[in-house]
Amino acid sequence: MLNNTIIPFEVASPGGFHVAELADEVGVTPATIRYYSRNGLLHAKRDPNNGYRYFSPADVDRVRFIKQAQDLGLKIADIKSIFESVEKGKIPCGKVESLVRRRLDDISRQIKELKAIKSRMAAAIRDWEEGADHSNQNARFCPLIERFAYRTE
Amino acid sequence: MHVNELAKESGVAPHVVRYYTQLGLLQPGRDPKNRYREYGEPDVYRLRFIRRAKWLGFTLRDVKAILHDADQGVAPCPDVRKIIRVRATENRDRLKELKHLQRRVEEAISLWDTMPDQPPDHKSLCHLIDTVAAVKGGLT
Repeated sequence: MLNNTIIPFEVASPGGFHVAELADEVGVTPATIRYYSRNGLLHAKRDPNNGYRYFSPADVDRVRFIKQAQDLGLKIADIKSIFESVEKGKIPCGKVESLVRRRLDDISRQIKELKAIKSRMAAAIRDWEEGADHSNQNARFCPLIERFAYRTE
Repeated sequence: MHVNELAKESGVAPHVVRYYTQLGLLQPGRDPKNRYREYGEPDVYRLRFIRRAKWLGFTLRDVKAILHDADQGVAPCPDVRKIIRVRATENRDRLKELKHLQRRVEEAISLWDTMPDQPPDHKSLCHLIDTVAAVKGGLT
């Protein structure tokens, strides 16, 4: 297979990638690369000839890792702390797993909350279809919302 | 009343009152003596309304538009009926997304339970995450 031997048409710097090249290599947008850089997950060097930022081949693996970690629900701050422990020479697996478990709890909580909102919305939509717009002197802003909330509180 | 009193009266945190004020959802005056923000009874109702609308899945931006209409004497009902359907669709999509994510993460964790920790090397920061990617890509 030749898919790992792509030579960029314009080589940025010896062995380096410009933002767009790195993005292309991993299959993300240049904006994503800039976002990671801004948040301290990637550290570009400056090309002394033209001042452009360029990245090393190791950054390709780094970006892949970030993408995969995000696919598992990890936040930028989580990934940053994983990188930090790697830089300190630690084995990050335990940390990765505990962070992923924490995010799983967050996800479960969010799902529960969204489900509760979902059933309230469905009830409101049903209620509003049946109820037409009967006037409601007690409503200050929107009788639909106020009446529904009052009846279900 | 001041920020803290309104917050207490309404059962929300003071920073929530400040945030809603900053967004223009609450419209306090100024206490002429000390220039503190001074909230009145209308703000109590507004705050209650904001909480109810949020509880029903409306965004703060929606609430702002609804309050604006109501302040202008325009009945917001037709818009409210439309908006809630849009929010319901978004809610459904988000739920679907989160359930996928939940499944993916649960699968990863159960896979990791069977694996030892490995030190990172130059190719791989954490083989746990690589494993998930490999399984997903069918490269095992």
